[in-house]
Amino acid sequence: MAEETAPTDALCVERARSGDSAAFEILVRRHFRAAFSLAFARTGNRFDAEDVCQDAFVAAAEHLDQCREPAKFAAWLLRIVRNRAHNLRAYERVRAAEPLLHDTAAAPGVPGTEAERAELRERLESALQQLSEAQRTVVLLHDLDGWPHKEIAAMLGTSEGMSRQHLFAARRRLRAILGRYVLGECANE
Amino acid sequence: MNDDPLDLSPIDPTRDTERFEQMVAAIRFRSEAVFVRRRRRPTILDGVAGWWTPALAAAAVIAAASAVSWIVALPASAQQSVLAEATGVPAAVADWAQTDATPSPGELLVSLGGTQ
Repeated sequence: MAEETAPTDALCVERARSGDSAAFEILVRRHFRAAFSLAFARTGNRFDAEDVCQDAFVAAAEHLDQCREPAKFAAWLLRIVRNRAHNLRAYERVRAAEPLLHDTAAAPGVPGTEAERAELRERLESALQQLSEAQRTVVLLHDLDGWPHKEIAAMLGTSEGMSRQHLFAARRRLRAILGRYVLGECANE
Repeated sequence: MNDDPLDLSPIDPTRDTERFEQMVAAIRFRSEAVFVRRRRRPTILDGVAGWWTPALAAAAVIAAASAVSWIVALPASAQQSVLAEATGVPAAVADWAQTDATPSPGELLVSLGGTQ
Protein backbone atom coordinates (compact mmCIF):
# COMPACT_ATOMS: atom_id res chain seq x y z
CA MET A 1 0.00 0.00 0.00
CA ALA A 2 1.36 3.39 -0.96
CA GLU A 3 1.94 5.76 1.91
CA GLU A 4 0.26 9.12 1.82
CA THR A 5 2.92 11.72 1.19
CA ALA A 6 3.24 14.49 3.75
CA PRO A 7 2.10 17.88 2.52
CA THR A 8 4.89 20.28 1.68
CA ASP A 9 5.56 23.37 3.74
CA ALA A 10 4.23 25.52 0.91
CA LEU A 11 0.94 23.64 0.87
CA CYS A 12 0.63 23.76 4.65
CA VAL A 13 1.25 27.50 4.66
CA GLU A 14 -1.35 27.98 1.93
CA ARG A 15 -3.92 25.95 3.86
CA ALA A 16 -3.09 27.66 7.14
CA ARG A 17 -3.61 31.03 5.49
CA SER A 18 -7.12 29.88 4.64
CA GLY A 19 -7.76 29.05 8.28
CA ASP A 20 -6.71 25.39 8.42
CA SER A 21 -5.22 25.11 11.89
CA ALA A 22 -4.42 21.42 11.36
CA ALA A 23 -2.11 22.38 8.49
CA PHE A 24 -0.35 24.83 10.77
CA GLU A 25 0.01 22.13 13.41
CA ILE A 26 1.87 20.02 10.87
CA LEU A 27 4.33 22.89 10.49
CA VAL A 28 4.66 23.18 14.26
CA ARG A 29 5.45 19.49 14.68
CA ARG A 30 7.76 19.45 11.68
CA HIS A 31 9.85 22.46 12.66
CA PHE A 32 9.67 22.56 16.44
CA ARG A 33 13.00 20.81 16.87
CA ALA A 34 14.80 23.24 14.58
CA ALA A 35 13.15 26.20 16.27
CA PHE A 36 14.14 24.80 19.65
CA SER A 37 17.71 24.24 18.47
CA LEU A 38 18.12 27.85 17.48
CA ALA A 39 16.31 29.19 20.52
CA PHE A 40 18.41 27.06 22.83
CA ALA A 41 21.58 28.14 21.06
CA ARG A 42 20.56 31.75 21.66
CA THR A 43 19.22 31.54 25.21
CA GLY A 44 21.27 28.66 26.59
CA ASN A 45 18.27 27.62 28.65
CA ARG A 46 15.82 24.87 27.73
CA PHE A 47 12.82 26.47 29.41
CA ASP A 48 13.46 29.84 27.84
CA ALA A 49 13.96 28.11 24.50
CA GLU A 50 10.61 26.36 24.79
CA ASP A 51 8.90 29.67 25.65
CA VAL A 52 10.59 31.35 22.70
CA CYS A 53 9.43 28.56 20.38
CA GLN A 54 5.83 28.83 21.51
CA ASP A 55 5.84 32.62 21.13
CA ALA A 56 7.48 32.34 17.73
CA PHE A 57 4.94 29.85 16.40
CA VAL A 58 2.04 31.99 17.64
CA ALA A 59 3.62 35.03 15.99
CA ALA A 60 4.13 33.00 12.80
CA ALA A 61 0.44 32.07 12.79
CA GLU A 62 -0.54 35.71 13.17
CA HIS A 63 1.78 36.99 10.46
CA LEU A 64 1.59 34.08 8.04
CA ASP A 65 0.63 36.43 5.21
CA GLN A 66 4.08 38.01 5.50
CA CYS A 67 5.82 34.73 4.64
CA ARG A 68 6.74 35.62 1.07
CA GLU A 69 8.19 32.24 0.17
CA PRO A 70 6.01 29.54 1.74
CA ALA A 71 8.41 26.85 0.54
CA LYS A 72 11.01 28.45 2.81
CA PHE A 73 8.76 28.58 5.84
CA ALA A 74 11.46 27.14 8.08
CA ALA A 75 13.93 29.90 7.29
CA TRP A 76 11.23 32.53 7.86
CA LEU A 77 10.21 30.90 11.14
CA LEU A 78 13.79 30.79 12.37
CA ARG A 79 14.14 34.52 11.78
CA ILE A 80 11.20 35.02 14.13
CA VAL A 81 12.75 32.63 16.63
CA ARG A 82 16.05 34.45 16.46
CA ASN A 83 14.42 37.83 17.08
CA ARG A 84 12.32 36.52 19.94
CA ALA A 85 15.30 34.85 21.56
CA HIS A 86 17.35 38.00 21.14
CA ASN A 87 14.64 40.07 22.83
CA LEU A 88 14.27 37.58 25.64
CA ARG A 89 17.99 37.48 26.22
CA ALA A 90 18.20 41.25 26.23
CA TYR A 91 15.51 41.52 28.89
CA GLU A 92 16.39 38.51 30.99
CA ARG A 93 20.16 38.36 31.02
CA VAL A 94 20.28 37.61 34.70
CA ARG A 95 17.80 34.78 34.50
CA ALA A 96 19.46 33.35 31.42
CA ALA A 97 22.76 33.23 33.27
CA GLU A 98 21.39 31.13 36.13
CA PRO A 99 22.52 27.52 36.31
CA LEU A 100 20.01 24.87 35.31
CA LEU A 101 19.78 23.32 38.75
CA HIS A 102 15.99 23.68 38.82
CA ASP A 103 15.85 21.33 35.89
CA THR A 104 16.41 18.32 38.11
CA ALA A 105 12.86 18.30 39.43
CA ALA A 106 12.22 14.93 37.87
CA ALA A 107 15.21 13.28 39.47
CA PRO A 108 13.99 12.49 42.99
CA GLY A 109 11.79 9.44 43.29
CA VAL A 110 11.93 8.42 39.63
CA PRO A 111 13.29 5.17 38.33
CA GLY A 112 17.02 4.93 37.71
CA THR A 113 16.91 5.18 33.94
CA GLU A 114 14.80 8.34 34.12
CA ALA A 115 17.13 9.89 36.67
CA GLU A 116 20.10 9.02 34.49
CA ARG A 117 18.42 10.65 31.52
CA ALA A 118 17.73 13.76 33.55
CA GLU A 119 21.35 13.89 34.66
CA LEU A 120 22.58 13.34 31.13
CA ARG A 121 20.32 16.08 29.84
CA GLU A 122 21.55 18.43 32.50
CA ARG A 123 25.18 17.69 31.69
CA LEU A 124 24.54 18.08 28.00
CA GLU A 125 22.83 21.44 28.49
CA SER A 126 25.63 22.60 30.72
CA ALA A 127 28.23 21.50 28.16
CA LEU A 128 26.36 23.22 25.34
CA GLN A 129 26.44 26.44 27.31
CA GLN A 130 30.21 26.35 27.15
CA LEU A 131 30.19 26.56 23.34
CA SER A 132 29.99 29.73 21.35
CA GLU A 133 26.56 30.64 20.08
CA ALA A 134 27.50 29.81 16.50
CA GLN A 135 28.87 26.42 17.55
CA ARG A 136 25.72 25.65 19.54
CA THR A 137 23.51 26.66 16.63
CA VAL A 138 25.36 24.51 14.14
CA VAL A 139 25.73 21.41 16.30
CA LEU A 140 22.09 21.53 17.43
CA LEU A 141 20.64 22.09 13.98
CA HIS A 142 22.95 19.51 12.41
CA ASP A 143 23.08 16.76 15.00
CA LEU A 144 19.67 17.22 16.61
CA ASP A 145 17.51 18.13 13.63
CA GLY A 146 19.62 16.89 10.72
CA TRP A 147 19.98 20.19 8.87
CA PRO A 148 22.55 20.12 6.04
CA HIS A 149 25.43 22.60 6.15
CA LYS A 150 24.09 24.42 3.12
CA GLU A 151 20.86 25.38 4.91
CA ILE A 152 22.61 26.18 8.18
CA ALA A 153 25.05 28.42 6.36
CA ALA A 154 22.22 30.20 4.55
CA MET A 155 20.36 30.72 7.80
CA LEU A 156 23.43 32.02 9.60
CA GLY A 157 24.60 34.08 6.65
CA THR A 158 27.95 32.32 6.51
CA SER A 159 29.72 29.79 4.30
CA GLU A 160 29.31 26.04 4.33
CA GLY A 161 32.98 25.72 5.21
CA MET A 162 32.51 27.89 8.28
CA SER A 163 29.49 25.84 9.28
CA ARG A 164 31.61 22.67 9.07
CA GLN A 165 34.32 24.28 11.15
CA HIS A 166 31.83 25.27 13.83
CA LEU A 167 30.44 21.74 13.86
CA PHE A 168 33.86 20.16 14.14
CA ALA A 169 34.89 22.49 16.97
CA ALA A 170 31.59 22.01 18.79
CA ARG A 171 31.77 18.23 18.67
CA ARG A 172 35.36 18.19 19.82
CA ARG A 173 34.59 20.49 22.72
CA LEU A 174 31.48 18.58 23.75
CA ARG A 175 33.38 15.30 23.68
CA ALA A 176 36.12 16.83 25.80
CA ILE A 177 33.59 18.15 28.34
CA LEU A 178 31.25 15.20 28.44
CA GLY A 179 33.70 12.36 28.02
CA ARG A 180 31.92 9.08 28.46
CA TYR A 181 28.57 10.79 29.04
CA VAL A 182 28.07 11.35 25.35
CA LEU A 183 25.16 9.14 24.43
CA GLY A 184 25.65 6.70 21.65
CA GLU A 185 29.34 6.42 22.35
CA CYS A 186 28.89 4.81 25.77
CA ALA A 187 27.27 1.84 24.09
CA ASN A 188 30.27 1.38 21.83
CA GLU A 189 32.77 1.31 24.66
CA MET B 1 39.89 12.00 15.27
CA ASN B 2 36.29 10.96 15.95
CA ASP B 3 33.95 13.36 14.20
CA ASP B 4 30.81 11.26 14.20
CA PRO B 5 27.53 12.99 14.92
CA LEU B 6 26.74 13.40 18.60
CA ASP B 7 23.61 11.95 20.06
CA LEU B 8 21.86 15.03 21.39
CA SER B 9 18.53 13.30 21.88
CA PRO B 10 18.50 13.90 25.67
CA ILE B 11 17.66 17.53 24.97
CA ASP B 12 15.31 16.78 22.09
CA PRO B 13 12.13 18.74 22.94
CA THR B 14 9.97 16.14 21.19
CA ARG B 15 11.40 13.26 23.21
CA ASP B 16 9.17 13.84 26.22
CA THR B 17 5.94 13.18 24.35
CA GLU B 18 3.63 14.47 27.06
CA ARG B 19 5.51 17.73 27.48
CA PHE B 20 5.78 18.20 23.72
CA GLU B 21 2.05 17.66 23.24
CA GLN B 22 1.39 20.24 25.95
CA MET B 23 3.49 22.77 24.06
CA VAL B 24 1.75 21.99 20.77
CA ALA B 25 -1.62 22.33 22.51
CA ALA B 26 -0.56 25.67 23.99
CA ILE B 27 0.42 26.96 20.54
CA ARG B 28 -2.85 25.64 19.11
CA PHE B 29 -4.85 27.35 21.89
CA ARG B 30 -3.04 30.68 21.57
CA SER B 31 -3.33 30.83 17.79
CA GLU B 32 -6.88 29.47 17.47
CA ALA B 33 -8.45 32.93 17.25
CA VAL B 34 -6.26 33.71 14.25
CA PHE B 35 -7.50 30.66 12.36
CA VAL B 36 -11.13 31.27 13.32
CA ARG B 37 -10.79 34.76 11.86
CA ARG B 38 -9.19 33.38 8.70
CA ARG B 39 -11.90 30.74 8.31
CA ARG B 40 -14.76 33.22 8.62
CA ARG B 41 -16.17 34.02 5.19
CA PRO B 42 -16.33 37.74 4.47
CA THR B 43 -19.92 39.07 4.44
CA ILE B 44 -21.34 42.01 2.47
CA LEU B 45 -21.07 44.09 5.62
CA ASP B 46 -17.36 43.22 5.89
CA GLY B 47 -16.94 44.44 2.31
CA VAL B 48 -18.79 47.66 3.03
CA ALA B 49 -16.84 48.15 6.24
CA GLY B 50 -13.64 47.58 4.36
CA TRP B 51 -14.50 50.29 1.83
CA TRP B 52 -16.22 52.69 4.24
CA THR B 53 -13.17 54.38 5.72
CA PRO B 54 -11.22 54.98 2.49
CA ALA B 55 -14.42 56.06 0.69
CA LEU B 56 -15.21 58.56 3.45
CA ALA B 57 -11.67 59.93 3.36
CA ALA B 58 -11.78 60.27 -0.43
CA ALA B 59 -15.14 62.08 -0.25
CA ALA B 60 -13.78 64.54 2.32
CA VAL B 61 -10.75 65.29 0.14
CA ILE B 62 -12.91 65.79 -2.96
CA ALA B 63 -15.32 68.09 -1.07
CA ALA B 64 -12.46 70.17 0.31
CA ALA B 65 -10.81 70.45 -3.10
CA SER B 66 -14.10 71.41 -4.76
CA ALA B 67 -14.81 74.11 -2.19
CA VAL B 68 -11.37 75.61 -2.55
CA SER B 69 -11.47 75.63 -6.35
CA TRP B 70 -15.00 77.12 -6.34
CA ILE B 71 -13.97 79.96 -4.01
CA VAL B 72 -10.78 80.63 -5.97
CA ALA B 73 -12.81 80.87 -9.21
CA LEU B 74 -15.07 83.65 -7.81
CA PRO B 75 -14.22 87.40 -8.17
CA ALA B 76 -12.46 88.92 -5.17
CA SER B 77 -15.54 90.74 -3.84
CA ALA B 78 -17.68 87.65 -4.24
CA GLN B 79 -15.03 85.60 -2.43
CA GLN B 80 -15.20 87.91 0.53
CA SER B 81 -18.99 87.87 0.69
CA VAL B 82 -18.97 84.08 0.41
CA LEU B 83 -16.48 83.88 3.25
CA ALA B 84 -18.53 86.39 5.24
CA GLU B 85 -21.66 84.33 4.77
CA ALA B 86 -19.83 81.17 5.65
CA THR B 87 -18.58 82.67 8.89
CA GLY B 88 -22.00 84.19 9.75
CA VAL B 89 -21.11 87.86 9.24
CA PRO B 90 -24.12 89.86 7.91
CA ALA B 91 -23.69 90.96 4.29
CA ALA B 92 -24.20 94.65 5.15
CA VAL B 93 -21.39 94.55 7.73
CA ALA B 94 -19.12 92.85 5.22
CA ASP B 95 -19.90 95.63 2.69
CA TRP B 96 -19.02 98.36 5.23
CA ALA B 97 -15.76 96.59 5.99
CA GLN B 98 -14.86 96.40 2.29
CA THR B 99 -15.81 100.01 1.44
CA ASP B 100 -14.69 101.73 4.68
CA ALA B 101 -18.18 103.31 4.78
CA THR B 102 -19.49 104.41 8.18
CA PRO B 103 -22.97 103.03 8.91
CA SER B 104 -25.59 105.12 10.63
CA PRO B 105 -26.87 103.94 14.03
CA GLY B 106 -30.14 102.90 12.41
CA GLU B 107 -28.39 100.79 9.78
CA LEU B 108 -26.31 99.16 12.51
CA LEU B 109 -29.41 98.27 14.52
CA VAL B 110 -31.09 96.75 11.48
CA SER B 111 -28.09 94.79 10.26
CA LEU B 112 -27.15 93.44 13.70
CA GLY B 113 -30.61 92.04 14.31
CA GLY B 114 -32.39 94.93 15.88
CA THR B 115 -35.77 94.53 14.21
CA GLN B 116 -37.77 96.60 16.71
